[in-house]
Amino acid sequence: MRLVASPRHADGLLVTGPVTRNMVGPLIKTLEATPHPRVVIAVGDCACDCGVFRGGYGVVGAVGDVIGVDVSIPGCPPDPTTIVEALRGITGR
Amino acid sequence: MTAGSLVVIGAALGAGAGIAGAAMPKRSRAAAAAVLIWAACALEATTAVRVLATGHDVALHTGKLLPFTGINLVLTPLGALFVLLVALVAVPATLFGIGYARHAMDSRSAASAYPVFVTVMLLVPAAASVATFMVLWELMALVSLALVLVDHSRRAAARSAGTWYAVLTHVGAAAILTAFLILAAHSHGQTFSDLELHARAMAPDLRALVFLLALVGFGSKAGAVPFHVWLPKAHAEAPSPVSALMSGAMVALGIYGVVLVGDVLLGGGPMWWWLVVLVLGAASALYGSLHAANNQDLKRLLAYSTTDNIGLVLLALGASGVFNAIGHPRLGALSLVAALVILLNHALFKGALFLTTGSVQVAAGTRDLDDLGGLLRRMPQTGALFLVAAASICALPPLNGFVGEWLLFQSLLHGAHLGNTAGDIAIPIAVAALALTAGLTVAAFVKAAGIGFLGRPRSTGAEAATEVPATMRAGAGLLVASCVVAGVVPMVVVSSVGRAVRAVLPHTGARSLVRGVNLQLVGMKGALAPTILALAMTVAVVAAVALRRVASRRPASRVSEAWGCGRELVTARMQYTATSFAEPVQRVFDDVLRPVRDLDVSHVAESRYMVESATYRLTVEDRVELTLYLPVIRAVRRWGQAARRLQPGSVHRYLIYGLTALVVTLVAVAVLA
Amino acid sequence: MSAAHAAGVVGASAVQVIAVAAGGLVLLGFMRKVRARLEGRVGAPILQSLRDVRKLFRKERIRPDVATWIFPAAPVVLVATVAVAAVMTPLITTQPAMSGGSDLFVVVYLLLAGSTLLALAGMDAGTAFGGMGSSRAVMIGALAEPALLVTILALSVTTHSSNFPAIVRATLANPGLIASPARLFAVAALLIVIVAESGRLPVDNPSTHLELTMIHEAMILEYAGPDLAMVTLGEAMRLALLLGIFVNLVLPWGVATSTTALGLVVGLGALVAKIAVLGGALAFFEVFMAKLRLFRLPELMAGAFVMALLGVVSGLVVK
Repeated sequence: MRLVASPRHADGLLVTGPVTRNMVGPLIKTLEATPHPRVVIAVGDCACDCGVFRGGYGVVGAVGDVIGVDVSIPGCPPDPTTIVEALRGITGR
Repeated sequence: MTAGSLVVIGAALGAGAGIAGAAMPKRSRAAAAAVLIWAACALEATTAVRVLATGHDVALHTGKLLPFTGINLVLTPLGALFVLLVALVAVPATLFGIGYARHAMDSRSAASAYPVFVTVMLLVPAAASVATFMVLWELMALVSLALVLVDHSRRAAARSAGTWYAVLTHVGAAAILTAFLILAAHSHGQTFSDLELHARAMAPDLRALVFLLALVGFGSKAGAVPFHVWLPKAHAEAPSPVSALMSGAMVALGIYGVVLVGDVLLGGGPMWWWLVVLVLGAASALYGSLHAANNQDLKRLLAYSTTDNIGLVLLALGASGVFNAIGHPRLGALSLVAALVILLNHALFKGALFLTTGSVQVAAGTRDLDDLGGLLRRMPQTGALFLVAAASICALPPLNGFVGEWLLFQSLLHGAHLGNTAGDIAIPIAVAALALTAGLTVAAFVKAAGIGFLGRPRSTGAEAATEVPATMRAGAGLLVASCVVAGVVPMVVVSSVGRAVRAVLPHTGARSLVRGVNLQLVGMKGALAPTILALAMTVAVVAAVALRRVASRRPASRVSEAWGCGRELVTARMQYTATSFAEPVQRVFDDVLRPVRDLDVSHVAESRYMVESATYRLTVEDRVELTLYLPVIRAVRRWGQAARRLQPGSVHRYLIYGLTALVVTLVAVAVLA
Repeated sequence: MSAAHAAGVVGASAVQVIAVAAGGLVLLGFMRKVRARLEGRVGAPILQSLRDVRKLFRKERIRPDVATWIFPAAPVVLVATVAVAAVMTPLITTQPAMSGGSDLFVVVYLLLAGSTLLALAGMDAGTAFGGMGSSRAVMIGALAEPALLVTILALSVTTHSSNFPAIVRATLANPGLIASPARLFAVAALLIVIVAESGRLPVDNPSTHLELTMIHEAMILEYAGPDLAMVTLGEAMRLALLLGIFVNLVLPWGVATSTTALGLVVGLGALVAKIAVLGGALAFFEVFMAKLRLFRLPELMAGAFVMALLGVVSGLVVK
């Protein structure tokens, strides 16, 4: 699993935190820039269901409300082992 | 019909084209003149091909037209090569001019001067006496000056360019005339064969003086540093077909002059002459390419690139003379072949570049690279032609620029082991200069092609650009096609050049220098297979495309917005400008260039701490112009102001001046007699 | 040339290209593995690059909205020019295809053609980073050219020819040439230039994510899917080719001088071993090196140029 500099080179997007008003556009653009087949992974309670920021004046929603999410990793913060296992579940190794 | 009469008919047709340009109505002026010019070029080119094929000169002498001396025309193989060069550039440029005439060159003076310009350039390589040569040379200068000044009423820059050009070309002509006069004073007649015969008997100092004067005069016409200052101005302000001819053909005639005086008339010379030429060439190449990489005006960039290529030609010429002087005639001939091949290739791709730039200027209304962009989508054919021509000038295989560079490199390589200390020092420096200019040329043309044609348009003019008329595209297309042909089958070019060189340097002791379908150096280890290389590259490209198609599962491609880190607003202002593209190179060479930086900050009315707008401008001035020419101009102006005090307007004072001058002259004559 | 001979030449060329392509990808993986182990990590498997390229081929192809035909053409031309250069380089045998026209000068300019078109493609998307990458790449290219061509001169001077197989054969015939000062200077300069041309530390960091530190990566930020696969393939082939040129100029033993099957196998084996050692050494030093500041690179290139010039001069002076 490698970090790459551009979503065009990526196979998956790792999103953390809730989606705020200013970040809706960039998030959609990032997803659109990623070539198929692609995976969206929401890490943390805030990404999965807004967590403690639910209802905030700048928050639009969870990641799943704006773009489709393939893998959710709940937790505040998620356990490192949970993250690793979820990622391993994607790659199958 | 004898070959001589073909030349005369060609000249007459050219003059007729000039008359047609002046007399005919606006709509048909350009086309009528064009047809006659093509006929003239065809006739002259046929004669030239015949001379090159047979190796026999074609001579023409008439006592009419010029008083006292008559006209003397002899077409030698060397001259024939240059006539072909002029014709090769003139025919496509004239085709371009038909479409271009609607925008810029539709006045009577331009339409009649242009054919005369082409005709005179076709005749200059055939001139065989001092008088004929100087008349034709001056005529060429005057007519090209008229063409540079076509726009003088609308633009001050055109007027200034005309002034610089006029002064420098006449200084050059004075130097050339002095050189010829010294030669003629030591011989019985003023035909070139007479001069050649008696030049060997002159004192070495005098021969050196003649050579240096000719180098200054012809070098200034060719655009060598430090006599090049007129070139960026004049070539940028002239209409595009004229710029193409000036950069392609007229500077070539400057080189013709150097070869004429150095190799033909003076019969070669001591090594130090040619070391001077080599150093001049290296300096021109480096200076020209550095300024091309840092200039944002498209035409000035091309003009500096001309200085760069002429520098390479002079480098090769200097190497040729050095090798001849130290007793290696075969290497000398090879270097001369390299020089002339580079010159011919330069005429082709520089002509194409100027013509496509003219199309861009007509379509987008500007030639400032900082305001262009996105033109490849709006002008697909012109853009593609520019890209191919730019690839040629960057010497990328399999195009023609690469062949010239290879030949030059081979001649320098084989000359590096001759055991002569001056040569041993000069050769690596020459190779280094060649390499650095190659790298800077790539920088300059990636900038020109990338900023000008790719990305988003940076101004409304560029956004509104559309494809130009078919004649303009066809003219540029002809030149680009010849670049491709000259790259894939260079034997055509190299064998013609070889014949011309054999006539100039007959002591090479080998029948031909280059032989075979591949370019194979005779007597030295070195070969190039340009046709096979082109074939291999085509096969490889097809294979790569096939690989991509076969290996990919989803061949359709999706169009998506360019990735800008998710930013909402992506405009043309986000892109690099030409100035910023050139900035790394400019920073590396900061000490040499010493650019002028201008930062203009305007603040908000309410507070000095808030900036409303800021403009940053970076200009690279021509150092040679600032340090060598401007002080001279200032001194002349001061001297002129001082001399004004001698002109109070009083008739009495002037009468006293006259009387004093007369008395002094009479006394001097009495004393000296 | 008979049909059988022509078929043989084509076949051998194809084998050489495929070897360079596959070998280049494996070399990338190998260098990554060496770095990882030295840094105390396990690292990705050596064949990972092959899998990456295969995966990229199967991804979707994306084109930026303002891009022209230059955008898809650049990866293709990059791979094609490196392939042609690989065919004419004496990597496995001293008689590659086109050996009559096989010239170091031609190889250098073929590689230049590929990188010039890639620089143009970097500007095609109309992004800021693309322009930045192209601008820096073109500056480094402009400074590496003098060093490279003078190095070629230094290497060619002793053999009176820049024909590549001739140089290799001359070194094989006269091993003492290796220790000549001309060769040593030229080799040092060539190493620096190769590092610059293939975009490795200390000139450029191929695995950086910070756009402002990128030179080569910035030009390919817009490429996705098969185009990116071709670019990666082209870059891997370039690295393998450059290292192969280096090892065969410096230590040509093992290169087949005849076209017997055994000779070719030995040549291939020797090439793989030599490139592995050189690649490993490069990776080893990369661990201890940081990327140079962009405007320190001219000094590095100038140093390479001076060494190459010393090589030429000593080649002419020392007989």
